Amino acid sequence: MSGNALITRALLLPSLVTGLSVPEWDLLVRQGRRANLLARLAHRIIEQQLMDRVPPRPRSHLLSALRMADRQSSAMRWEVECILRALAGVDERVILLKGAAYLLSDLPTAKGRTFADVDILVPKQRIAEVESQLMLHGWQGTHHDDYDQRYYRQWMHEIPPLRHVKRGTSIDVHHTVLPESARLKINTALLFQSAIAVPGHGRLYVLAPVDMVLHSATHLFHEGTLENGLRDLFDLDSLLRHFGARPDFWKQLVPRATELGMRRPLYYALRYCSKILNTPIPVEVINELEPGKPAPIVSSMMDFCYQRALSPQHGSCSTKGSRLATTFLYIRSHWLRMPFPLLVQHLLRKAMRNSTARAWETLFTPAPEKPEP
Amino acid sequence: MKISNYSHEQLTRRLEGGELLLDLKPFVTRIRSNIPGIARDIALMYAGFETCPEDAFADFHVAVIRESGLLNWMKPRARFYFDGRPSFIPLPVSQSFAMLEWGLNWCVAAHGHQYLIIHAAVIEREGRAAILPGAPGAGKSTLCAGLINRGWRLLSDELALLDLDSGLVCGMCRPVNLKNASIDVIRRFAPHAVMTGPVPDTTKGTIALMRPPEESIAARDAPARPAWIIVPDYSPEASPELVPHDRALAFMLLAEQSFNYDIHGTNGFAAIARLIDACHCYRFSYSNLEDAVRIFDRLAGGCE
Amino acid sequence: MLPETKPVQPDSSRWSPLDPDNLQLRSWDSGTVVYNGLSGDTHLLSPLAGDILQQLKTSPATCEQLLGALPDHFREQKESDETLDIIEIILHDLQAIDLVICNGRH
Repeated sequence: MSGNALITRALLLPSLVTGLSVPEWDLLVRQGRRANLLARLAHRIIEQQLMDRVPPRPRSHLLSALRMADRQSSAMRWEVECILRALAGVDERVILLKGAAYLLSDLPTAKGRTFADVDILVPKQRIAEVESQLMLHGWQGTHHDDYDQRYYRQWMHEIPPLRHVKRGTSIDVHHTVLPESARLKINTALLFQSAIAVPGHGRLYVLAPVDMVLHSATHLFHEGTLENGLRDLFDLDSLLRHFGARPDFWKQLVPRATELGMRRPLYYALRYCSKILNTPIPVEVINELEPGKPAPIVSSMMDFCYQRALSPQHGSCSTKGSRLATTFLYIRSHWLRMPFPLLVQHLLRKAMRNSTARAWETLFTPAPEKPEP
Repeated sequence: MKISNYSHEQLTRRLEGGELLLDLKPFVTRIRSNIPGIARDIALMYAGFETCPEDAFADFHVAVIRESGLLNWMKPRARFYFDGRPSFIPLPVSQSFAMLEWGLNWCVAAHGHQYLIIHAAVIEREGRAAILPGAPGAGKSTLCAGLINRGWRLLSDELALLDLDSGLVCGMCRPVNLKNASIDVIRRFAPHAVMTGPVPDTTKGTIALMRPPEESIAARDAPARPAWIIVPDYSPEASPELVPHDRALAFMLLAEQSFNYDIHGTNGFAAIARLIDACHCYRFSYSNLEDAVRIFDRLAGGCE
Repeated sequence: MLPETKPVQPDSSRWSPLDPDNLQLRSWDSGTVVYNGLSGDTHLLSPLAGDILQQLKTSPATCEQLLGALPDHFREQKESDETLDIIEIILHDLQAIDLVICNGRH
């Protein structure tokens, strides 16, 4: 059961690290690294003032991970400033999503988190303008394959990722939070209406707290690959605990989910957060989601899949059915994104490409002179 | 227990079970492999190194595994794994030991952020270290391999581990990478040096690994105080010359050649500035190793 | 937070570092290296550019004020306009790499 993974238990109760044996530390560092949660653990341990109780070798890995995460935070802040500068001429609010939003809003969710791309949300009618301004300021298109271009523009909810030529950073520009071709239709206009300004940052906006939680839930439960599944679940847990302290949050959550068309992902989000991470959720909210919840057989199938897929992607956490679970979720997620004929075509194409290029496995090849980290 | 005290069978069995913990001071790595050649090469190159008990904490879990499947029966390939995850594209099995070495370099460079890690050779004489930053094709490894067979202690031929607080540098004293023409040059220069057989057709050409001298391995625990930064510049016609190197340029060179300079931010900047201030900075042109030995001897003797 | 950059007229505009607290400099005879904590970039500057940046870190200044503060660099120049041009070019270069910002007319 993924709730029992050592990294999960340590994050929920940092004081348990003081009683770990050496082999347990060895396992914890492994799981933490694979799950991208080592820096978060380091942060929790420092918060509880327990770092000097950690043996020297594991401690150096915790601190290394934290250094990397800190550097990524700085880089992310700078990246957002550069993006704002590039879009200065576009008369539109820039809405940050996911990690960038957590960081710029100074949420506890951002502490010890790793960051990669920036995700922004702009109205569909502004996409061309935003894309061209970004390209004028040094971002370049990726995914030059015609098929990929169509995949992103026609069927997905974003333009293909843009990469900055000098900084090597990537930006994903979304115009809605789920693909256009998805079965689930999201009312995006409402998201734009309720976006709130980031204090001290001019035209920078983030989603309203309830919307941020719903977006995180929808994103997680429609994702194809769950490489960062547990990390994203911890994000959700953190958001729920943080915003849950606000007076109206829980009252607004289910009605807003209904309004936006996000009841089902919210159901799963709350279910797995409470099962795996013991997130405190008011009983009234659980009851509110009863009408329209999945049939028991669907629920238990999803339980089987998600509890395996939401564990750290490390050998120590694979159980019988893990492979099956992740494959099912991958196919389910594409099913959620695309109508069936498109799905078959897409998966076939991806499989062909994988067998020749093995792109998904390759981190880097030994370079001629200097191994790149 | 020293690697040299293991029989081939014991080593093979440990590797197959993933129970070999190699002490690479300051890192410990757990190694797993189903490739017989790996056991032989570890026995040869790491004879003087110790293993750790099976339940010790390992900084890295690495594996070099021969791939199965029809394609691999015809052209056998191996793949490197870090913490269970495959990394790099697979390479011919004949290159598996080289892949282990490159993979270990990558693990340290990508995760060893308690140090500032510079792509450089480090050698030491009488308590003072020379850092030789690794511009491609400049002959750093050949120069390093030559000097360590003439009285200099090897700390590392690839990864200089700089302690940001103390300013001392250390290295793991692992096998030295030689390629193409350098292999024969070093064979002639140091006939008693222990090397693996040449491995052709790698991305770097033909490579071989040279075991460091015993005295270097025995002393590998000891860090050293950097005294010189010497940028090697090999060319076949060059007359040997040690010329002062512009310090600001030397700073940029070291920063560029550091794997994790970026991660250390302002501390990395300060550490490299202190290093530049503490060292004499030179550019060293040379065309043969005997000249190099002579000039480095003079350097160590305090004439420069 | 980056203020919008405005078109600059020479002589009367005041220049300052983008974020003086986030700037580390180290100088040798041959040049100055500078670390920009905001962007994470490290730059190598000529001795003159390095001294200009160091001066601005101490206090914001106009081109003329910089000229006055750095007489050693311009001992050979006779024409004041030329030297002001040189300083202005350097300031624009520093601005292009996010080290300094112009604060409009003084």
